[in-house]
This record gives sequence, C-alpha cells and structure tokens, in this order.
Amino acid sequence: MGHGITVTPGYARTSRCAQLCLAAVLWMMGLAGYAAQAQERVPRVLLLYPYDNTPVASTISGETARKRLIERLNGKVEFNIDFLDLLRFQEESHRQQTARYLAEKYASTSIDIIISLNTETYRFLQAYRDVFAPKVPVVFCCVMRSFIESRSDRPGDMTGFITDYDITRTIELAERLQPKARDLVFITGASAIDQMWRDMYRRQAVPFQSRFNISFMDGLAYDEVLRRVSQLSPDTIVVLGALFVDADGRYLVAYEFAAEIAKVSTAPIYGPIDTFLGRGVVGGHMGTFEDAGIEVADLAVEVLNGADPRSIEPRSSHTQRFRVDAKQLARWGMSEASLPPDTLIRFKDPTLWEQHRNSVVAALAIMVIEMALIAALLLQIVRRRRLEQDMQVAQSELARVTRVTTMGEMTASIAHEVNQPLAAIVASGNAGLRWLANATPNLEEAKSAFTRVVRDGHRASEVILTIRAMFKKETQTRHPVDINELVREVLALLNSQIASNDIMVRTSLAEPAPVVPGDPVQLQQVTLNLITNAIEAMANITDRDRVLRISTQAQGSEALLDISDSGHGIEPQHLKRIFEAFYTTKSHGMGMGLSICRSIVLAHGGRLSASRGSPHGSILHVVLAMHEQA
Amino acid sequence: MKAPADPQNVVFVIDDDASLRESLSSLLRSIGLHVELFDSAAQFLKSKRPDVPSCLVLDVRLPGLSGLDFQAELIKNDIRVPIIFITGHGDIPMSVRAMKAGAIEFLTKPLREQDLLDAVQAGLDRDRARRQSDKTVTEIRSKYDSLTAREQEVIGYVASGLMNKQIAGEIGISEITVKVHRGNLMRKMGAKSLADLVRMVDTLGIHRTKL
Repeated sequence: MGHGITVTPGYARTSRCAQLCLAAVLWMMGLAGYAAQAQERVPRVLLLYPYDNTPVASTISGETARKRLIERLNGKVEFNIDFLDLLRFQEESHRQQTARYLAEKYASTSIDIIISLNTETYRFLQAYRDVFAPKVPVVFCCVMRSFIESRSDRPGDMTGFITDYDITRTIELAERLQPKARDLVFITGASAIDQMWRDMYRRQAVPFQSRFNISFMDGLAYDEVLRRVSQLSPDTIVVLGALFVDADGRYLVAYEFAAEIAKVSTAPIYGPIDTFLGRGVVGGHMGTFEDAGIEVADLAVEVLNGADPRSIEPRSSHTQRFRVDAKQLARWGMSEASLPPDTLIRFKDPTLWEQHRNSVVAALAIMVIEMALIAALLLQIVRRRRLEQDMQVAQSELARVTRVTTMGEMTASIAHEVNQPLAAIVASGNAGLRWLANATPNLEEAKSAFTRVVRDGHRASEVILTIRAMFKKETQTRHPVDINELVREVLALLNSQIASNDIMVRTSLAEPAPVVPGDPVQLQQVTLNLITNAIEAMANITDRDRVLRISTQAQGSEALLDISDSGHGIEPQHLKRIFEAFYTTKSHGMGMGLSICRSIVLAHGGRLSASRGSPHGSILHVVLAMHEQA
Repeated sequence: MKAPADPQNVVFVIDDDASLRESLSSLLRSIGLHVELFDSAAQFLKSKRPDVPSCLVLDVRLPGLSGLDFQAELIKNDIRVPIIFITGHGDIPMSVRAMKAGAIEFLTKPLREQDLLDAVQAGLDRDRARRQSDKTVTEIRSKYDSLTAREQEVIGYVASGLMNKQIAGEIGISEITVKVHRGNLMRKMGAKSLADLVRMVDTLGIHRTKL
C-alpha cells in the first residue's frame, strides 16, 4: 500500500507538467473549435474547373456562378478554386494524383459544396469525389446531355445543369439562311475529349443525310482545317463543335480556333456554342454560359439551404434560342427576314439613335437652338433693315431741316457777300470825294479810290451772278412732289413750334393729292417758310384763337396751296411789297424769305401771292403747274 | 495833306476784306488821320502800337475770333483802346453787348461817312482824355509816394477835414509838428488849397481817415 502511494517527486513533476501541457493543448483546441464554430456559418464552396483558364465557356459559367453565390448569400461564402488540367493530362494516373492532392489539400478544410464545371469535371468527380470530399454534395454545370444519358450511374447527391447542344436546330437555322446549300460539314477536334462531340455530331447528323452531302472534318491538323475551309463552296453549311486538340496534338482554345476558321472560311460557319458568337460564327441554337452559371448558383444555394440533392432533378436550359451575329449576316449577305421568329440578333450595330441617343438629342437640341438663333438673327436683320430705312428717312428729314435752317444762314451769307463790296464802294466813294474836296486835291488818292469803286462794283455784281447761278442749278431737278405730303412733312417738322405757340391747325387737303413736278427740297423750303411766317404772324395774338389753315386743291392744270393765319394781317399798301427782297415787316428779319420763296415758285412755273384774310390775318397763295412746262 | 511822320493819333482798322480795309484807310486818311491796317485780330495783337491817342475800327465778323470775343480779350489784357464796331448785319443783342463792353459805336455797312468819322473822332477824344487822366493820376501818385510815412498819415486826416489840434491828438504828437507836416505835404503835393488836396486824394482813391 505504502509503495502504492509512494509517489516519486520526479513523476509527480512530470505528471504536473503533462497536465499543464494538456491544459494548454485543450485550451488551444478550444480556441480552434471556437474558430471552426465561427466559420461554420460561412459555407465553403469548392469550384472545380476541368482544364486551365483558357476555355472561356467554363470560365464564364464559373465566374457567373461565383458572383451569383456571393450576391445570393450576401457575401457570406468562401471559395476554393482548382483547375484540374484534364485536357493536357488525359491519363487516368493524373486524375488519381489530382484526387489525392485534393484530399491532402482539403484534409483540414470542410467543403460544404462542390461546383463542378464542364462534363470532364463531372466525370472526374464521379470517379474520385469520395477520395477527397466524400459525401459533399455536388452541383454540376454544363454537362452534355449525351454524356448524362449515356451513363446511368449518376450519383444521387449530384445534381446540376445539363447543356443541350442543339445541332438539329442549328442546322435548321443554317438551312433557312442558306436554302441553296447542299453540303453540310462538321468540324470537331481529334482528341479523346473531342470524341464526345464527334459522336454527338454524327448522331445528330443522321436526319439530314437525305438532304445533304455530309462530311466530317475531324482528326485533322490545325492548318489543314484552315486550308480546307478556305476552299469550301459558299453553298456549304459548316457546323463547328467544341475543339480541344488537333491531329498534331496541338491544344486548341476553341473560340480562338473558331475565329481563325471563320476568318478564312469561304462558307458560313455555325455552331451551338455561345462563345463562338461574335467571333465570326453566323449563329446557332444555344443558351448562354452565363445563364448556366446562374442556374448552377441557384441550385447550390438550394442545397446549402438544406435541400437534398437527391430530390433535385438536374435542370436544363430554358433560355436556349436562336442567336445570330448581325455582322456575319451582313458578311454573307443574309437577310434578317429569313431568320426564324424570335431569333436574338446580336452585335447589331446600334442605329445612330440607339448608340448616340444623348448626342443625337443634344445635336438636335443644338440644331433647334441654332435655328432659333438664326431665325432670331434674321429677324434682327429685318428689324435692322427697317430701322435703317427709318433712319434714312429721319436723316433725309434732318438734312431737309438743316437745309431749312441753313437758308437763314445762307441769306445772311448772301447779305454779307453783297454788303461787303457795297460798303467798300461807299467808303471809297466818300474817300475819293474828300480827296478831291481838299484845299489841295489829292488826285492820286482820288484816282485809286475811284478805281476801287469800279472794282468793288464788279465784285458785287459777281456775287449776284454766283447766287443766281446757284439757284438756277438747283431748279433743274424735277421730281413728282405730292403737295399733301409736303404739307404733312412740314407740319411734322414744325410740330413742337406749333404746340408751343398754342396754334390750332386746320388742314383741308384735296383727294387725290395734287402732284407737281419740282424740286422737293426747294418746295419744302417754300412751304416751311410760309408756314413759319404764318406762325410768327400770330405770335402776339391773345384776344382770339391762333388758327393755321392749310388747304390744297387741284384746279385745272394747277395745284393750289393756301396758307392762312389769324394774325394781324398785312396792310394793303404792303401786300405787293412783301415779296421784294430786303423788305420786312418783322423786327428781326432779313426780308429775304418771301422773295426767295417767290423766286423758287416762279422757277417752278408757278405764282406766289398774298391776300388779306377775313375777318383777319393773311393768306399766302401758292399756285404750281401740275405738268412740266415745255 | 500827308499824315505826319510822328503821328498825333492813330486809327487801327481790322477787317478781313482787303478792299474795304483800303477804302476805310483812304477815307480816314483823307481827313488827316494816321491809319494802321490789320487783316486779323492776331496780327493786331502782335504789332507794336504807337503810344498815342488811338481807336480801333473792328469788323464784328472776323475769321477765327469774333469781334465781340476780341473786345473781351482786349479788356482782359488791359488794352484800353476805344472800339468802333462795323458789321454787315448787326442785331440788337449783339450791339447791346458791344456797347455794354465799352464800344464807342456800332455801325452797319455800308457805313455812312459822317457816322464813321464822328465815331472815330469820339474814340480818339475818349482815348486822349483817358490818357490825360491816366497821366494826372500818375503824377499825383508820384507826389504822394514822395511823402514821408508820417506825412502820408497826416494827409488822410487833413483830407478828412480835421484841424491840426485834432490830428495832433489822434496821432499823439504836438500841434506844431502837425502844422509842419501839413505845410510840407501841401507843398510836396503842389496843392493850391485844401479843396485841391482833397480832390487829389480822391483821385488816388485813398480813403480819407474818418473818426
């Protein structure tokens, strides 16, 4: 017993040490367990790609599925991705090694679901899933229906999306577009994986044997394929399958090879594969790899949510339809009208409207604005023209007024010109007389004084001649002058004067208006002068209305213009003299106005006279011939 | 009758019309006046004019400067020559303005001989009188300037009519001294009487010292 309880201190120490270590390990394990618990809430998806990343078909499906999963699970999902490289290494040993590798790789990682891309992966999983992920549900994508149907051994926990490569309807499309075609050529690759496509094509081609000469281009080298397609009759229908490896063992990227073939082909190329579209293939009946990816992701979500894969039947595409490339239709001169109904036409150059709607709208808007601007500018121009015309009218009126006002200055100038020699004559005459009258007459000075008298006498006469010549010249212009218009113009010119002098204007203008040939400016001066005189004659009338009466009248071949005022009137003895030059009854006046008026009227073959008004005032009568006088 | 070489008087004529200028010159010379002709106001201003009684016959209508503006210019420059305006067509406002500014006459062309000659004579007389008066003032001024400061002080009181005694009281000097100053200043000024002195003081414009 004593022995039994004899515990060596060394053992005890060791034991205590082991206990501590155990505790630490347990604690660490606890932590790890805790971490695993935390991870359990985020499902882990293993994405398995069959080859590398070059075949875009599986890449498109896989990426679409991955994004869809992230979206559906609100980002609470983790992915592991592996490329199985089953094309370049087709031996069974590679598959075994890969399975073992994956088993090691994911030994301590719990995979919740496997998404398998492509038929080849599905085949790999059938054989090796249990090696690295036993019982982990599989959702497969894009397994060829022919593969599924050729095997009856689909494990119950594998469900997914089956792809139908519909060769029949693709050929139907080709027949519609090429009704004259009698040759049907199928192109596929040369490897074991290509075998599935060759078999499928051969099977599906059978119903067409009666209508077409069918040939298969398979087991050929890359360059040979290109050479052959470049020699095809244009009435050939070429259907392309998935291409993996050529006869030389060259690995092909299917869509790139399709593009090469389409480029050199002398006949239109068709194919049921989405990724060929836009790369030179006319079209086919097909679904899209994106749609497959979405379907697969949705199935995966169902499974992750607890659905039993066994209860889920594999699905197939419901988005399959005819899809064509508009550019290829154009290239081969095919009409859209011959397409089956509900064909999706892709890569159609958007119309100008579709492509540049905003630009078009903007351009149209700019054009509209521009047009509006142009219209506005045109309007402006029209308005400016009108204003310019108005301005011209105003300017010519101003010119007239200027002439009218210069008339006063002109008379002053004439007076000065005449007066100057007269003053000299008088002074010289006086001087001469004085030199002679001196006690000793200075004959020398007297002589020079009288010489100057003669000289200045001539000078005065020259001035008169010049003035007469000036007037003569001006009366040579003859235009039709509307007398009524003349009166209106002058009244307009004198408007402010009439208003400020508180004068009532009464006009009685004949209709039709009398028109006389004459110088409009001169006749206006006359009218203006006469009316101004009438206004001034009434300046100091306070005991009665200041009335300016103007009447025009056609009488025989003469036009009459009467201007009357209600002023003091002209004394009878002055009536005749008022038209004499330098005769004036005004306190400040040159006495030139009426005499010039009369000269102008006379020059127009008319008469100017004055009479006393009744009961007061005076009337000026202008008579002008209405026809040019010979 | 020739105009004297060293003229007793001179009539300036400014007119841009050469013919009229000559005619006027001839007419004025025929009554023995000395005449100088100018065709513009500027030429007149530039000329060296003899310091004798003179008058100016001026056309209102001059190129460049109007006759009336020229008149104003002369007054501004203290050229006090009497002006007879002649014009082709003078109006009333124009003549009123000229007369107000001191013109002798405002004559219209053609000139009546007698009007011109009378006006010229009047102009010369007025200038002569002015010159005489200017001369008198200058003389009195120089006499006044010759007085001592005290005498100049006293003269103000004397002219105001103060008696010697009062003046002595005002200035604070003896009556005798005032009397001496008074005698001296009367002599120096050449005043014959107190009234004469008062007139001189008035002419100079010196204020008579008031109490």
